[in-house]
Amino acid sequence: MGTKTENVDINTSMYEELIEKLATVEDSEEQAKLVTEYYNKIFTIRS
Amino acid sequence: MATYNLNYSGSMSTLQYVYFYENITSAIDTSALSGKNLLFYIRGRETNFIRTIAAYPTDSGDYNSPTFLNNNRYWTLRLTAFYPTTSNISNYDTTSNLAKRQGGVVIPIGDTYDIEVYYTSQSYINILNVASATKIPGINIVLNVSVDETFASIETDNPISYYTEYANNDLIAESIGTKGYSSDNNRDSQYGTQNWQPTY
Repeated sequence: MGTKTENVDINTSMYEELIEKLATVEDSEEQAKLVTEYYNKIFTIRS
Repeated sequence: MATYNLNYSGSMSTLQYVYFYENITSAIDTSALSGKNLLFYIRGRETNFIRTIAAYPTDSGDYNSPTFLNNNRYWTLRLTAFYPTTSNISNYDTTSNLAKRQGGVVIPIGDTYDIEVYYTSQSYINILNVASATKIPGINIVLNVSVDETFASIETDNPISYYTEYANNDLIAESIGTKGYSSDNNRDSQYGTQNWQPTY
């Protein structure tokens, strides 16, 4: 059986924006919330 | 317990979601996993390259409330493999742990990786600390990572060697007649050895 893989594109400006925002947030739950919120903006499956 | 293969070739993206289907339900009382994040502890056999990354919650997508797609047979786990271009190494491995906390790993090519799965109740900031996580026994994922010479994102100073695999057997002993050699030998140098063909 083959391994399932998918091509993914990354939005580097969104990734950098997230890094900048995380640098200003110390609360762990808030960080996780930000990462969750940004995840689908940063990573998209190539169609 | 399964083996998975990631082979970069052609115009594939340098980022690849790689899916694992593992029978975690039979390995551990899954009530212990409620509300916990999962970690991958990744170790290369050749290089001893070691990283921990936070598995993406494949169901909820929420690191504050992680849930994973699962049934009684398997759990769907996923990591994001980054091909190790110079920029990927710099942006997603050596300067920040964010990609690791998003389930990503910049992974050296040409190695076989043993991946163990841990669960953790650590806060998201400290999520990658494997020392405070608990290993799920018996989930030994093996991931082979390789690249084909056709892959578009190979960098010029990135060493790669390859050979062509031929479908035909090299030697056809039955055809050797009184001359003492076979005229049907496939002499393509797929093993890098010296060879020649008599013509008498």
